[in-house]
Amino acid sequence: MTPLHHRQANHPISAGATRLQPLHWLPLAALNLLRNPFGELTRADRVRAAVVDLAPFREILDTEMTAIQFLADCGRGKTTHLLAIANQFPESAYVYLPEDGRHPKIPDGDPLLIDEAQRLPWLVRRRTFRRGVRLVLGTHVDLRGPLRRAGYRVWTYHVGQNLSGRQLAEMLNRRIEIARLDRGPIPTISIEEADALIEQHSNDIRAIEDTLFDRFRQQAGQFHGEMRFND
Amino acid sequence: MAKCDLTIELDQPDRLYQPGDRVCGTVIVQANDDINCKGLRVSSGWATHGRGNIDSGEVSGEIVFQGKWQTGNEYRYAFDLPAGDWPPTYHGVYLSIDRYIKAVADLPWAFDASVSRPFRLSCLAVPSGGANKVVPQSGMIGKMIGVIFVVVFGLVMLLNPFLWLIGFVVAIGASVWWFATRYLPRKRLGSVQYKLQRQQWMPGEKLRATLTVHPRKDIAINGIIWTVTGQETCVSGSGSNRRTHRHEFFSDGQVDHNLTRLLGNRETVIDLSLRLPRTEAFTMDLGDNNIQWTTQVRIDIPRWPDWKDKQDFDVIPSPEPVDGGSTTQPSPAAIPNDDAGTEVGEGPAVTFASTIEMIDSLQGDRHQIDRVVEAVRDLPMQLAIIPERRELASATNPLAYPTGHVVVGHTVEPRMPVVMYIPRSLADEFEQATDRQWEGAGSIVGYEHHAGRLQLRIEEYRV
Repeated sequence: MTPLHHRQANHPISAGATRLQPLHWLPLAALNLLRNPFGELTRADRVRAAVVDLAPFREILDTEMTAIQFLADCGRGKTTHLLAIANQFPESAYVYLPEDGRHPKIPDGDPLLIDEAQRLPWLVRRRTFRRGVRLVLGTHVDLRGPLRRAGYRVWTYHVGQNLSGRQLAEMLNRRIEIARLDRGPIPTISIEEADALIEQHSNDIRAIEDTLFDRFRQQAGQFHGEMRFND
Repeated sequence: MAKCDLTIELDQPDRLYQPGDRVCGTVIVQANDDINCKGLRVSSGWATHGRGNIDSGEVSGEIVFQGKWQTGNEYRYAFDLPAGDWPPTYHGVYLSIDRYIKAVADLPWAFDASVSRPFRLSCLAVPSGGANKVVPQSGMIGKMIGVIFVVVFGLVMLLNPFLWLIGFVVAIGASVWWFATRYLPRKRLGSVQYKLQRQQWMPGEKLRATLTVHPRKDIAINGIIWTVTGQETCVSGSGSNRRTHRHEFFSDGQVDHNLTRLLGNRETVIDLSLRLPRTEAFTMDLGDNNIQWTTQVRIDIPRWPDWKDKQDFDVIPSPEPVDGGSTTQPSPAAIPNDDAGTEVGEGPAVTFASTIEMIDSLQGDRHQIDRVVEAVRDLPMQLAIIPERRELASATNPLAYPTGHVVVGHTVEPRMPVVMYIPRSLADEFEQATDRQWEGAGSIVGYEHHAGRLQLRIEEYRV
C-alpha cells in the first residue's frame, strides 16, 4: 500500500468581514478542526454527514404500501440511511429497537422508519405491518416474506456493497468538514487514500472511522499541518 | 448556498473562564436570501466528544432576534451568557469536553442554520452540593428498570421449582469464588483494613492510604503492591453495538518487597502514599463518558490466594487556578509546584535535572508540560543522557539538523525518554556512547506528547 498523505486546501473560501479567532488551545487547532472528526456524532450531525443519494428512495416512497429494507452487518451505514431519509419527510417517525431492555412503543409516522427491525417481536411486527404506512427498515435479516404477506411492495438495498473510494472519500471528508474550526484549509482524504482504507477494512465504515480517529488523535497538540492517513 | 451563514465572535476567545464568569460576544448573520427567521437562539452549554456517545447539557439560552433578514446584509447580535460551572474543559485521549456558545437560526422551509464556538472553562471547585456527576435522566430510568427486573426475576425464580436448580448452581459458583478470594486470604491474614485517608484529593497532592493487618500468627508474604490508576471510560452505541473504550492515562503505585513477614498478634500499619499528577482529569460521571480514579492494594501471599481490595477516590479541582487566564506565555516561576526546590526560574536554578524532575512530576498534564517546555525552550543547558539507538523515521523533522542524525535515549534520574537532534559532527561520538552516559551542551526544544518523550537539540561543540 503506498503511503499517501497530505493536507491540502479543500476549496478556496473568500475572506469575509469577520476576523478569525485561532483558539490555539484546541488540540486540533493546527489542523483547523474543532475536534476529532471521527468521534461519535449527535443524530443531527449524523444526518449532516450522511452521503446518501435520496432521490431513488423518495421516488419509491411516493407510492402507498411500499417498503424499503436496508440489509447489512453492523457498521455499514444502515442507521445513517434511515436518518437521512427521516430527515426528508416531516411526517416520518424513527425508532431504534435496542437489543436489551424494553422495546419502545412503535410510534405513528408515515413513513415509519424502524432500525434493527429484525428485533420486532412477531406480534408487534404483524400489527406494525398491518398499519399500511410506508416502511423503511434497517435490518440484519431479510424481512421480504412478512412484508409481502402484509401486501407491501419491497425494495431491498444491501448497504455498503460496492463501496467505492470516491464514495468513501466523500463520506469521510464530510465528517471532517463538520468538525471545521474556521475558514481556510482542513485535512482532506483523497480517493487513493480511501481506496487504501477499503483495501484494509473492506466496507466496514466503523472500523475505518476508528482507524481515522486514532490517526487524528495522534495529531493532537502537534504544530505542523501535515497528516498521513495510511501507513 | 445556505440561506444564511452564521458566525460567532467571542470578545475574549482565548480567555480561561471561571465559574460565575459571563461569556460575551457577537453572533454575525450574513443573509444570502430574504429570510423570515422564526428565532435566532444563542445558548451556552457543554458537550463531550470522542469515542463515547455524546453527552451534553445547556447552561442558559436566549432568543436574540425574530424577524426578517434581507439578502446581502450582515446583522450583528450581541450576547452575554453565563459560562457555567461544571464540567470544565478537558482534552483527553478518548474523551474531550468542550464548552460552547451555540447559535441556531430557526428557518421556515429550510434546515436550521447553526454554528458553535468553544471557550475554555476552568473549575476551582466542584459545583455546590459536591456533585461532580451529571446523571442523565435515561440513566435513572435504566436503573429503575434494572431494579424492577431483578425483583421480577427473583419472584419468578421463587415460584418455579425448576429454576431453583439454576439458582443452586449459581449459588455454588458464587460460594466457591467467595471462599477462594475472600475467605482464604482473610483466614491467613486475620483482620485487614484498607482505608484512604479521605475521599477527595486535589491534583498534585500526596494521596495517602493505610493498610492495617492484624494476623493471628506470623505470616510470610512476598510483598505489598499498591496501584493508583486514572482512566477515561467512554461507551459508544447501544445494544449489540454497545462498546466500551477505556484509556488508562495514569498508572503508578508503590511496591514493597521489603516487608516479608507480618508478625502475629500484632497490628501492622503500612502507610501508602503517592503524589498525584497535576492534571485536569477530575473525577467525572457524565453518563456515557466518565473519568474514574481507583486504588488497588494486593498482599501477595506465597502459595495462597492473594488478598485484594479496591477503592475509588475523587480527584477534584484545586482552588489554585491552573492558568491565570492570561494568553501570554507564563514565566517559569509562575508554574505552580509545591515540591520545594524544583521551581524553574528561581535565580540560577534552571538546570536540566530540575527541569526533568518538574516535567516528570507533571506526568499526564499535557498543558502544564507544554508550559514548562515553552518556558525553557532553547535555553542552553548541560545535558546528561543515555543514548540508545539511532532513529531514521524522524530525520525529516524540522527540528533536526539538515545533515544530522536523530537518536533516541533517556535521561538518567528520573528516567524519561528523549529524542535528540544531533549535528553530523557528533554522530561518531553518539555511536560510541550507546547505553553509556553522555554529557554535553544542548537545549530542550519540545515535547512529543504522542510518544511521551522530550525533544533535545545537541550543540555542535562539547562543553
